[in-house]
Amino acid sequence: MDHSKIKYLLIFLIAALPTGSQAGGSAYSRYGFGDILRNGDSRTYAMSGTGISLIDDGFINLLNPAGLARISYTRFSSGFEYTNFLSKDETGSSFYSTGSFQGLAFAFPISKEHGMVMAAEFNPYSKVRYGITALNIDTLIQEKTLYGSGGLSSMSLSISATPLNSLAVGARLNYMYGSTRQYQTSVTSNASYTATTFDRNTYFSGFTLTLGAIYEGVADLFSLPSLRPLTLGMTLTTASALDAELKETYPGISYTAGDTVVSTSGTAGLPLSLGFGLSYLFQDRYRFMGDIVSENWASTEYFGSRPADLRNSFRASAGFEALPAKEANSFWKRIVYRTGIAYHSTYYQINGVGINEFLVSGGLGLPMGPESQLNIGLQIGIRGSTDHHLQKDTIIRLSAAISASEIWFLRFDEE
Amino acid sequence: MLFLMSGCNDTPNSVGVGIQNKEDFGVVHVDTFYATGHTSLPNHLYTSTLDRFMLGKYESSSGPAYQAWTCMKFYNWPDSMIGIGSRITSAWIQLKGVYRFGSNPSAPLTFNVYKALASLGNDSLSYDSLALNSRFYFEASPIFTVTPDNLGDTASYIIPFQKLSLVADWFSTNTDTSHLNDGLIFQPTSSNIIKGFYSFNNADTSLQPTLFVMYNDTNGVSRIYSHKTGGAKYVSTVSQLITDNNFMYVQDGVSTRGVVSFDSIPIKWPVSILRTVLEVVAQPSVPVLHDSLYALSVAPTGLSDGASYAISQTATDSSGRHHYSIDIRAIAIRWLSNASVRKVAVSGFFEGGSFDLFRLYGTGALKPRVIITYSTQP
Repeated sequence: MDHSKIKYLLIFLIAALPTGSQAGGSAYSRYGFGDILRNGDSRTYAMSGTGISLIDDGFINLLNPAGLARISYTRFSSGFEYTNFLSKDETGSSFYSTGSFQGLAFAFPISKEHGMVMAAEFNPYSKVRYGITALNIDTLIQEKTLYGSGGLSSMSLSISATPLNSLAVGARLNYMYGSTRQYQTSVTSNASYTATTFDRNTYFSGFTLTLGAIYEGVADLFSLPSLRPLTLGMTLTTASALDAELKETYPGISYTAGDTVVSTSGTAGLPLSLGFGLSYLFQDRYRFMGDIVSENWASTEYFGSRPADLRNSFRASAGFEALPAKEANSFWKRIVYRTGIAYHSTYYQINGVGINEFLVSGGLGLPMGPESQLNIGLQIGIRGSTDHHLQKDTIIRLSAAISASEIWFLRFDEE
Repeated sequence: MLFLMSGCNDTPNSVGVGIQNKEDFGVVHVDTFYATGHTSLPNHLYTSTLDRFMLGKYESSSGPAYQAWTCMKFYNWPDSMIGIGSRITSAWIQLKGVYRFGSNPSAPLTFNVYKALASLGNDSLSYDSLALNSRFYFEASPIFTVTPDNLGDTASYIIPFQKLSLVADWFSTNTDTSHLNDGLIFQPTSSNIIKGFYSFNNADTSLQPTLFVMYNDTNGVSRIYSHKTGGAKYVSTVSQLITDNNFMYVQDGVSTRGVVSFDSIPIKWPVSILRTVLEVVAQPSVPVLHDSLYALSVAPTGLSDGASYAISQTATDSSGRHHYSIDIRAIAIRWLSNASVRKVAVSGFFEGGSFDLFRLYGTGALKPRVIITYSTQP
């Protein structure tokens, strides 16, 4: 197989894929910062975002900076996600699709002896995308459509170290930024009334800090050799009050018939996030993992007040990965198989009802060359229900991502 | 797989409405505010740009008294006509009628014609300035008095010149530096009619004022030359207009505008205004030619500036009174956004082209009001 051609073709394809149309998504994303994404990495994607305790070469752990410590070559990973929403409520159903860039990460070792690895990452953190049309809101407004778009992203710098043989620690400084837009159009039932529009853009920026640790010495700690394949991980991301600037635009209503823009400065809170994970590698081939993550969204403030539509979120997930045998020497034998399941008590609390999501996932890691994989993941989830005038989303996400090292780009002379 | 997932519906529909707060769609409010004050203010009419000018005087025992004087000047002669003055044998001005104010169509219109002594081209020229500085603007004695035959409202009026030396002076030069031609002033003397005539601004040249000059050419052949280049305007005045302070007087042809104050509109800006309707009610039994009103924005000086304006919809009758509705959304936006005064002026539809009078209620249950329909955002 001519890997050099395939890899450049894949890079081109991922770059050329559309980053999303103006299509809608779930109406839930109108609240908070929208749908919080937990991609982790192309590897963890297929395991329902499980991987806090993963520490491995050939993998940039975006969930836990301590997980970088084993990287021995410069690596990068990037991917694309295609998402379908089938949303239902008591009025009917809608089917939306969107494509988006899944992030980009580079990591390079500084000191293999001390597990010092640095990484630079760009990742989407949340996504807002919806369109809702309400008819006959009152006797005057015949139709009103709400659109939303945008979301938060993060640019991060990470570093890891291994102060002990069995302990890896890491820190990641995250610059959070982005904007959300809410846009309204209306159609009046009487032509003598002026149809109005309203545009609300909120711009965010600020920092959070993620600290992580992965411990591999449980077996020694408890003198239980059978626990040698067990690793424990934890992450803590600080809460933060992002600087937020709200710009509300009322088109065509100024003194000169131009736009009137009202700007308001404030803060928007991101929660304290605490995560724990464990991993058990059975027979050096079968990895079992579990994660839990809790975030106290209910304590955050948005422009000085607590959002009534948000609650604390909790996420529990489990993943499984079947690794190839060390002696595997063919393409098919080197494929990695992954699956996962997750339960997510999301931070949405609409009409007083918490919105929960169930997720199953699966995927493959296709070998693309030395230390390089094309990871394909599929997630199928169900969020919410149609009870209490709510909405049920059936979500299908497909991810294609590359995880590769510098070796992938080296040309070896064939003998 | 990507292809299987394509073909989705990207058009928003009602799915998701149930999880939105009702306020997310904006809340429409309809609030009514009544006028906190009213007044009637004189307004300067710029009549030189109108398609007509007025001439006449109207007095009645029970209502206001009006006067309209005309200023007219012919100029810009062709070079071939310069110097024909001594050969002019007769001259006359033809005016085409377009409007009458006064109940008696057969009432005679008589007027004096004066020679102007100063330029009348200043747009700020008013009746008061003309009357108070009459010796500056025109000769003390009229050149002649005109009593045209009454030929109806839209017929031609012929004003024969009885002093040909004046016309001869006009044709002596196009570079007048010694006030040979500052035009004419027509001062009405009859008291029962005001006539409107087409001005030089009318697009139909056949209706424009025309100076006819009969003269002998160098061969002694009699010829007639007609000239349509000139300017005309009118200045006017009214007395005894405001007799009841409970009313707001909107008088065309003079003009007087009503000004309504809305000082108490507690709407927090910004909001999306869908519509703002000004409602005014006219006293019954005041017939008008042009049954429509304008609403105009009012500058911080308190005077209407016309930066925003709107015309009334078809008036409706209720309980014998005439109701006018005017969409003043643009004006309301000015009020609520940054205006230091919240006033709106009301003028007649054809302010310079008629003498319509609107007596609008300014107090009581029928006083002006605005109905503001607006949407607020959460």
